[in-house]
Amino acid sequence: MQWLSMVKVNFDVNQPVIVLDVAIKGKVIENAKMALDTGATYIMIPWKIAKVLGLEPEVAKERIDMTTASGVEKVPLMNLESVSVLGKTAHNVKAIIHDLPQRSYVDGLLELSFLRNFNLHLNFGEGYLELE
Amino acid sequence: MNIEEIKRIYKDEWILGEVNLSDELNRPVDVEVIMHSKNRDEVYDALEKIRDKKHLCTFYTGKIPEKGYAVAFYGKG
Repeated sequence: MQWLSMVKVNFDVNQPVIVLDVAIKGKVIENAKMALDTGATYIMIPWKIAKVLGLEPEVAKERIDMTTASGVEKVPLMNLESVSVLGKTAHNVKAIIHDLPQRSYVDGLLELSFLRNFNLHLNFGEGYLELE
Repeated sequence: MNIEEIKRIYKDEWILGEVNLSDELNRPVDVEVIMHSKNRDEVYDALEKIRDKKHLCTFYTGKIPEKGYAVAFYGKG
């Protein structure tokens, strides 16, 4: 079964963030760069990527409070049809729609709503990441 | 055009491209550049207007983050 197979990729342990290529499927497939973040609940994608996927975040039925360093704000919570990372795909993945600052240089954040579908191993000693 | 070539030609820019070929890990390997800019918002504006493409990508070609910057993600207040 494919979902039991393991993918291993190397990363630079000296980089301040681990950036992964994330393929999000909706009305189109959009490959975005996301920072791996195991400390938060939902994948975060920007408004305009949500729109090109065919989502309508401005009329989202569900909004949640997002706690940030600068306070709490309401953000749309929506379902992504599928999300693929390193060849591993999860379906119906919850995502919040929110723009990161431009100088983050990534499109979004890869969070637990995707990661909890898999086993993730981060080996900082040897500089590799495994997803199975 | 392959990703390394794009990074070389459009150094430190945001790219909007159509993905012609991905590898087995869903990573784009051959991309046709539709738009490039130093300003991410211009690339996102162009992305929103795309109607006739099936597989798109956005990415920054420079170092993430820039040298001298640390990263802390937070929302706009």
